[in-house]
Amino acid sequence: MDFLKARSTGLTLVLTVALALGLSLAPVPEALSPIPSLRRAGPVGPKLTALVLPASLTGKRPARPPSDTMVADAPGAPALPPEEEDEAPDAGAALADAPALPAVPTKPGIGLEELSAPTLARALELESLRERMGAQHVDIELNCRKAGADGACLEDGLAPFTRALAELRADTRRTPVRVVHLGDSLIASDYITDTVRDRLQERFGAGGKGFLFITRPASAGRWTRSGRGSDGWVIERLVDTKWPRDRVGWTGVAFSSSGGSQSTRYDVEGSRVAELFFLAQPASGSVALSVDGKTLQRVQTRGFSKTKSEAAFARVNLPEGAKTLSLTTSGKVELHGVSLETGAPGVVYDTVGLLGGMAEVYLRAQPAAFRAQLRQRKPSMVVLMVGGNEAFFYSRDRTTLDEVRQQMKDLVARVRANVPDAACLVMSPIDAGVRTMSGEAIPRRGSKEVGDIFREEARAGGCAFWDAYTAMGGEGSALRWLDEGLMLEDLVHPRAKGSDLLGHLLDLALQRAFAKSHAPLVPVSDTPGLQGADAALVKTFSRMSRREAGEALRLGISQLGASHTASHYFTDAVREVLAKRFGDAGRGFIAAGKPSQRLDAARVARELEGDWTVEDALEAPAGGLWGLTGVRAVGAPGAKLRIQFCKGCPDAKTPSGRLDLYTLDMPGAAAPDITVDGEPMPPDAPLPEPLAAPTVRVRSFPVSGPAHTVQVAAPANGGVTVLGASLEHDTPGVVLDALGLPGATAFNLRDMDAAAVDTQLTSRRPDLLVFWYGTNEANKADLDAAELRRDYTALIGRLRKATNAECLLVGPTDRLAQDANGRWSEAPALAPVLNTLPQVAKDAGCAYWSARAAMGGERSMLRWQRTQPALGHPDGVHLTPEGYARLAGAFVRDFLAAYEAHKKGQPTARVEDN
Amino acid sequence: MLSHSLQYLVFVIAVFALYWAVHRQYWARMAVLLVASTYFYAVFTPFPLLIFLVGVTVDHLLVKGMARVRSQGARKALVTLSVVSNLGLLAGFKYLELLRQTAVSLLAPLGVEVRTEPFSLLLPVGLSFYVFQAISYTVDVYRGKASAEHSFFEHLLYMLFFPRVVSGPIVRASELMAHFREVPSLTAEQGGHALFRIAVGLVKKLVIADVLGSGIVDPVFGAPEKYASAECIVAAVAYTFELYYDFSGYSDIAIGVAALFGFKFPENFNRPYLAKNIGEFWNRWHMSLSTWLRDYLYRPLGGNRVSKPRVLFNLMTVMVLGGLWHGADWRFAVWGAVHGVALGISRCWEWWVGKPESPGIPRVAVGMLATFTIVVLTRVVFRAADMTHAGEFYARMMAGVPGIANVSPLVWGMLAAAVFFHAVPMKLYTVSSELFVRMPVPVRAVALVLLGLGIRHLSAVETRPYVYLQF
Repeated sequence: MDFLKARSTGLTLVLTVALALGLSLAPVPEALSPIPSLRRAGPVGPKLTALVLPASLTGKRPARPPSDTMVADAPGAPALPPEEEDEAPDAGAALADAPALPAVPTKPGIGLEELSAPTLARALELESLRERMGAQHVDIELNCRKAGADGACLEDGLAPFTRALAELRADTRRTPVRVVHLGDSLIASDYITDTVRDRLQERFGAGGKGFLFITRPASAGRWTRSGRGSDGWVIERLVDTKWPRDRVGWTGVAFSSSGGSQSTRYDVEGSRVAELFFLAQPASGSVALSVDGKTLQRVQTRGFSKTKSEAAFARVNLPEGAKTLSLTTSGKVELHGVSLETGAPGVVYDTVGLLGGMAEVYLRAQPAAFRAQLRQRKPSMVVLMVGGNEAFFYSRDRTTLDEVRQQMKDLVARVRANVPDAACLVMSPIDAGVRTMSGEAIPRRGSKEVGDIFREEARAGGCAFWDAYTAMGGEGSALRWLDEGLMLEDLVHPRAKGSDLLGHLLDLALQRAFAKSHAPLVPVSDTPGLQGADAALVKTFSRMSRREAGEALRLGISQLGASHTASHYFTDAVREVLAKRFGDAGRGFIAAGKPSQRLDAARVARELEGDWTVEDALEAPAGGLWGLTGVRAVGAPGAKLRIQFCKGCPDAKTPSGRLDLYTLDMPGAAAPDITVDGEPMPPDAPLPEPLAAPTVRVRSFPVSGPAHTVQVAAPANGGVTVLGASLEHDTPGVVLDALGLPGATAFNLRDMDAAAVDTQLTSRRPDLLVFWYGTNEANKADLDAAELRRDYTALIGRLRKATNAECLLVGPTDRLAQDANGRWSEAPALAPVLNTLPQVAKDAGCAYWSARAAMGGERSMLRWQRTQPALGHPDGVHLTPEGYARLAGAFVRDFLAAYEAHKKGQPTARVEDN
Repeated sequence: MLSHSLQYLVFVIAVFALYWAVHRQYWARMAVLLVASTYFYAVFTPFPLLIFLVGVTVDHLLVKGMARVRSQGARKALVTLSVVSNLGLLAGFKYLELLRQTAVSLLAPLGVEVRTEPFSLLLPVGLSFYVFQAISYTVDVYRGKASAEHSFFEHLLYMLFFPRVVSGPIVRASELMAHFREVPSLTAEQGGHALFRIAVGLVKKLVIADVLGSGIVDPVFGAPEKYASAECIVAAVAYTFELYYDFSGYSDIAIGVAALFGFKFPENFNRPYLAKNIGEFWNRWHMSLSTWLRDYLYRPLGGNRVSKPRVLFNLMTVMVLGGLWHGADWRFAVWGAVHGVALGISRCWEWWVGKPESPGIPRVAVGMLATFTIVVLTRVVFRAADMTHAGEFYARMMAGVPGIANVSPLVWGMLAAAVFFHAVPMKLYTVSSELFVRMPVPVRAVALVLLGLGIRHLSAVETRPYVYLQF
């Protein structure tokens, strides 16, 4: 072979490789093994491949040279992780695209209970990832911040924080709950903390963005925690070799405009209060604050002292609807940051992540400025998340554990002394790795040792402690995370996905700590997700599956309920997703009634001409004949009613379909004049026998094309009662009827004439009946839960029998009531309704979905009211159009997830026995 | 896939096997090398390959144009176009951001609007080396020193040849492309010497450079205020040796690997710290760059054949631009300018006292010490993150803070080894190489495995990229 004939060189290479491999696999002492990793447990093939093939080809790391700028890093302490934009899926995206949830068995009590449905879906994905990575749920070690004379603990390390959250939850707090999270490069781009912030704000309300830098303090990373500054800011950081001495507090970075005017700009949408952090110093200039281009205030940064500088603050109220806040300096000015808050009670989570941050770095801050800035924020909790750099330096013998201990002791003492009323939480560093000369990644020493020291100092200092190292998976977890793409190649910084997982674990640990200290306001087990679908929705899912396989069939869904249904927002959003996936078989049923803007979105219009009375079943005596929504329109002689489907749609000849008109015909009354698309319909065929009592009559007219108008005119010698109309196409797909009566309860439906309801509902040919009652029942202080359970079950049984359909119950939203002082509390019967409806679903063989749990459970209505844009209506009962769309997204996501699970033969969650 | 990694060694063995299996067929061996080179670069990052492909295409067309046209003016226009396009590439990817930042700091106070958003362009690995080599070829064709008759693929392989594409050496066409059409050969001696050279390069990089880098240079340069003055001085000296062993180790591997395929690369170093003056230093340090600067910049500026002030100006220009070539940061210009001043002083001294024929040991010793001191001091600017850090480092060096306890025995030992191997006569190296070549093949294999074991035990815990990778 020519390779070997290239004189002896080829042979030398072959023999060298053979000898190196042989020695590596032979049972010789490890010191004599050229590649020791080959002898570790596991098949040799993959290990050889990993050694021989560049990692970029094996998909384990990106094809890059040693740094992300394609330029080698200056070696030293761990640097900034590269920018990533792996954003968590947008909750709103759930509507358009509802992927299946991974099948993760989640244990109760891990902290998932109060997340809203879109966040829960993301959390379940992270739970799946956690399982795969061997990461763990680690409780926060609460320790003791205040002990009695007998040594018993009077207050745990997190008590001020959990107490403040409980006040938010009970709506007794009017100020924000602030958290100051100090850390290193792991949170420099607001990864990890973004997840915790989002979740806390979702559970307890959003109080604003919190503290933001003037501009990005490093040349890389996300802009999420800073303004967009001009280019000439002189930036000095506590981590710099020449750090800003005697000026900066925990905010850690000084932004100076020494030469020329500098500016920065913030997006302040939703914020009502801004506070400028700056250095008051002699002969200092000023800062102009302007909102949307209009100057709001000019802040003089000159201090009172002619010799000393000190940390100072200026608070300004922002006008409602403000979009951007601009700061423009004049003269020599040093700024430290800006905090933005909504002014409403909620969580504000400040993040300061300094590249190379350590306890020692934060101790460099001027003590007075540290204290002043911290007290200004009035935090309920201070989180200290350092240790990664300490562990790195310890692994290189550049620091000692004694030094690390002393620095953390000093930092904890400083925080406790500066804000004695705040909780503090110390975190251990996470696991990390290093790469050997053969390119092999091995665990780096130091994280565990530093973490153990932090644990001891947290306990001694009265702080809580969270073991992030164990939560991540302990020693070697960094390598596993690298293999799964959760860790950067530097083996120090997690990628966005890994950071999300860490944030998820920290958030759930905080939530568990809160749950331990807080008794639920409503004693119910309100489980999120679609319960019992695998048994209750077999036929429905089967039809969906067949439809998806191409079979030309119709899937009828009729949703009966109160105002949540009557508003159409929820059903419109659900219909849109289902029709997109399974096909659109028409708009379905529209009740007779007055013109309504809520129908505009669906391009449906109603018109009444002449003398009409629209009656409903709310206060009517039992046994009345009503349309499916509990409404009937009674027209005087000559009055006309028009219902227009697909208003504004272009004329077309396809698809063909049918238009049904629902009326209540009276004995002896003349038939109404009916026109469809302007064409008079032929008179009715004579009935076999004359009507003896008012009777529901369904007339069906063949039509073609998407747009149609039906007009009913009362005969000149008599009136007419119209119940509604429906349009369906002959195309395969979904028809979803929204059959809601504002203010209705299940009892109203029960009391309507059974035959009339059954006849109409049967004509709708539903495969699935969705019942969404309960929100109004929850407001009945005298609700008889046993009666509700009995009668609602019987009602569902009757309607199922009439239609041969399956059923799904939707629970109430988080209905709240406001007292005279403006404080909110749960509607009087919310607890019994939440306890009863799952039982009704179980008794009636229906699936159950809790709207309140999907909103986020306890007091979620308050948070939905306070988000931007608002999701909850100020009445504490209804949702805004955006809120209904959000809730519909959650519903359809859970519904389709259960369908996907059904297709794969997996059971979904069972209805809980209460 | 850095050239001191296991993956690279395996890659080289695989390409070696393929290459020598087909080496008699021109197209086959060209295809092996071209595919291997493309693969090697793509493993780093594939995108710049497109830039290089376009660059080579443009240059190739210009070279063919030069071969066709007779008019000297047209030839000059074509070569100018090539130089401008290549420098444009370098300016765009490497210096645009520096220019923007400089413009902001200079013009913004005057009220002139300058773009404030960074360009955020990534610097393709090896671009600086690519550009200089590309210019050398087109200028050589213009000057009649290189043939224009090479095919496009030869041109492409010349630019992308994997042993040198990342960090050089900058190889002239006459040293590489001119040999593509010759059937290669590899004698036992040549192969043995090549393997020995690669082994020496690995030891230089992984044992000496990396241990010095992680053991003393990184910690002290990272936080000089934590270290004593003597420790800062040791760190500066250690960095001086780290840089040499890092880059010359890389160069040894590149030269050795090229030799395995039958190509002879020019030497890049000649024990530079034994130089007796700064001019000699530049004749011994990064020789492929300094000769490039001499041939394509210094001489076209007039070289030594102009007035003395103009010579000094030329020297300064070359050194400042040579400094900037290392990175888009004004500190590299400062570093180059200081060397330019030192070169100017050295040249003035020669004009004033003349070149001594036999300077004598004391004068040689003083010259070597002075030159080494200048190099060490200027290396601080080269290594520090910015001029502020460099200033702090100098201040710490001069502060007289006592203590030297942070220099570990391993670092002392490695520094001693660095000095020793730098100073020993070249004959020792030649003899060792001969000894290796004469070993029977199995013994050679055992020696290489033992060497690998030694590297494993002596090297730093972590591998570090080559310092020159960033240039």
